[in-house]
Amino acid sequence: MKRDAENRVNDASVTGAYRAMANERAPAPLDEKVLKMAAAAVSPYARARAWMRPVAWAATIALSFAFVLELSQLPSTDLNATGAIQSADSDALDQRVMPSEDVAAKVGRLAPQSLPPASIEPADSRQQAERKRASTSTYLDAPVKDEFALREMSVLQGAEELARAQTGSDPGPKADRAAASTPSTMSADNVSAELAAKRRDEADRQLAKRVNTEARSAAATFAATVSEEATDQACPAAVRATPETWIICIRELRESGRDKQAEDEYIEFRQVFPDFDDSDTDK
Amino acid sequence: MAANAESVVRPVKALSSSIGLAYAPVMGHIPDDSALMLRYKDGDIAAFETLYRRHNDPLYRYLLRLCRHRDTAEDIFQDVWGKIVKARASYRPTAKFTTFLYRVAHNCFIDHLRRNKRHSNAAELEVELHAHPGETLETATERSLAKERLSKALLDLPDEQRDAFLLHEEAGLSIDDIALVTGSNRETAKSRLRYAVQKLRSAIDEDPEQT
Repeated sequence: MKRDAENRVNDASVTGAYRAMANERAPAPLDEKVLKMAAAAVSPYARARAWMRPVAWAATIALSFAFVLELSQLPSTDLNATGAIQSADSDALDQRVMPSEDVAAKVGRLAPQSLPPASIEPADSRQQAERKRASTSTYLDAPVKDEFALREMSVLQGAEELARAQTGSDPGPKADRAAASTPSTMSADNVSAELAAKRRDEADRQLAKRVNTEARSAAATFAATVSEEATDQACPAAVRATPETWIICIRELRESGRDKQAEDEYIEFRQVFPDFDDSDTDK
Repeated sequence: MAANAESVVRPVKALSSSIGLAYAPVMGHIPDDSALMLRYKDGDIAAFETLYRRHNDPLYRYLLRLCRHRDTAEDIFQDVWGKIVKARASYRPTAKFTTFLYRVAHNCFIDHLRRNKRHSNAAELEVELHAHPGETLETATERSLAKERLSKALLDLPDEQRDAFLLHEEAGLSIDDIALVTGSNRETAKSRLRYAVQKLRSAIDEDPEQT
């Protein structure tokens, strides 16, 4: 209490004079501004903005992280997903495989009448046959991986067989093995394809032979022409070195019937050796 | 709610004025300033309006006399209340709200002085001459001259002494609170206030014929 009294340095006259003088009030527009500012600070939008900003930042960071993670794992995820789908499909297909008799009956009804019933053998037995053939066959050293490769291999073997039969050569042990490895139940389309392939191979082979022969004869003709043109002098240069050998060469040309060449050679001989005494027959 | 509070506050302010204080904290059924501030912190804009109506005029006069320029005082006034609004989230009722408010105002004024180092000493405040009803022209003139002398003496006070006097008269702060607001020790605040009152009393008691 004493402290409060001491704290107050009151002077009634000064305080009264100041109170009488200081009667200003805050302007009304200033009051409105301040109150609006205060109201805006606690408005729902301002409150929402207060927590929306950190939430927006967190959401942006989370989305960015998820996007980067997705991008970094995209290839492996896709492969896994594809593998999963494939395995799921194969499992579903395995589960949906019908008994072989049912499949044969249904496909036989749908298949053309010209096709033999062997062409509609069940997939399981065909696959087993292909696997067996792949395990026993030594025609190709490379491992047989799928059905298409096996089919291609059998077609090649058939074509080789046919070619050897047509040429009359011994089929040999490979043909035997191919025959042994040829499946007994081959479909009609396979057979027709094989025959067509064999015919195509044979035609190609004959055409190649013909082309070979013609090419060789043409090459021989061309070579002869070129050699004739190149050896315009009937007597070689070594023979022409001495008049005795050269005149002997001219005589041989005449005896062989190449009179024109012998005459040309003699003209050249006389130009080179005008004083050589030859016999009458050389003139 | 705000109207009721205001209707209660206004007689209190009138009572405070009659005893020479612009604001005197009154305990009782009137909500405390700190309670109003806490309610505003929770989003009650009416509580802030009540709080504002209690302190807007004294704070405005404090800044007006301290800055001696109306526009500057209004700018600082908005700045002070803006800081109060922003500080609502971190407000803790550890001290009187009045002390908190005028400390913010004092700091804003100091910041203004630092930003404007070439602080103009020329005061633009003028003493308005209004004749009270039933007052003769001679009495009105004498009263206006006293006001003018007081106003001139107040404006001529050093900033620290004027600050201490205004905090004492407008905010009703004690010497300890003045020391707290101005960041000085108690004796310094007390001597500043004493010197200010002495100078102002001299200006009031000065014989007009001598001047």
